[in-house]
Amino acid sequence: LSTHPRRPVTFCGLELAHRVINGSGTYDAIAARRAFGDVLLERFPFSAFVSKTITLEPRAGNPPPRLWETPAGLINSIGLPNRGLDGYLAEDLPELARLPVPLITNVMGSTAEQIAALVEAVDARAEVAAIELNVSCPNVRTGLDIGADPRELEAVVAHVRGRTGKPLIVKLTPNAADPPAAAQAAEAAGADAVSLINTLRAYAPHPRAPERPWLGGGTGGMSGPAVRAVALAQVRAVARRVAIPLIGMGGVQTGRHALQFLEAGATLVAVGTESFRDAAAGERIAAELGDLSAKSGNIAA
Amino acid sequence: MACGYGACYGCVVPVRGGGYLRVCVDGPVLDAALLEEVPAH
Repeated sequence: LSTHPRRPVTFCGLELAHRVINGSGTYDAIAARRAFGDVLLERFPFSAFVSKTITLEPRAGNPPPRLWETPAGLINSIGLPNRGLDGYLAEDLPELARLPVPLITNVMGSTAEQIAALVEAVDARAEVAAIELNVSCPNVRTGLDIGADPRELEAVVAHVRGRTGKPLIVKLTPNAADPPAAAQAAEAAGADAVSLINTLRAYAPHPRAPERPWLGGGTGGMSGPAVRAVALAQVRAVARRVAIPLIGMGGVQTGRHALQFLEAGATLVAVGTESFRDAAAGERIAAELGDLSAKSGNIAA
Repeated sequence: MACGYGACYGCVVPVRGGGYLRVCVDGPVLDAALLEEVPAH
């Protein structure tokens, strides 16, 4: 692919071979290895692997239908199916530890105590290089997404910060009045980095019964090329307000798109929906980014 | 259908007694006796 060596990058103390990683929940390394074989261990598409979201208890996920395509976009209502913390630690982690790249574990809870328990359990495992908090979860007390309210977010991050010495990344929600304020709150509470954007809340009417939802979960989250311009605006705004590094994502399909996120202020770029179309997209995008950077002599990778 | 290889969990069908199977990797041919009957969506 690329004729240019990719320049390594240090992110929160992690040495990464290049700047392209996966978005949580959009690349299943275990399923991919089963489907594509051990070649995946030799040529892993990403420079770090972000797990899907892990919750304390197992989750089956939302009733189908779970997907709806829009012009240049995808609405999903998957519902974070996972084995729960114990299943993840016992069954998934040993397999993920065989990947040739650092592992970032993404966790979600609906109270500060739940999130703290997840962070402590994951912190105890040497296989995990960093922890990402999914704060797009309704607080059981207020019903609002934890990450949508800067004060709530600051309290939650402060509550869990001391439970881990590993890099702590906060995955911001774009469904908030002021994402830069949320980023500042995360930084003030001790987050080492923020990642954005998560999916945009979206609704698809049933095509034959438009008074009711198509998706089994009611509403869903939108991703894909259609959200890229929104993501770039949010990354740019957040980068101007915090000093900690950013992982930028949202509709990245090419090295040029990845470069746009780096130029907007991101240190790493995550690929999500594009990996559903092409499971090797991450490798191609990293190579394209390496070529572009070599040509332009630009900052990036 | 999004990924087609078991990663996205977008193609699931409900199983009797709870839980889901992925049509792409657990199917596409499934034992009907395993599946929950669902009304037409």
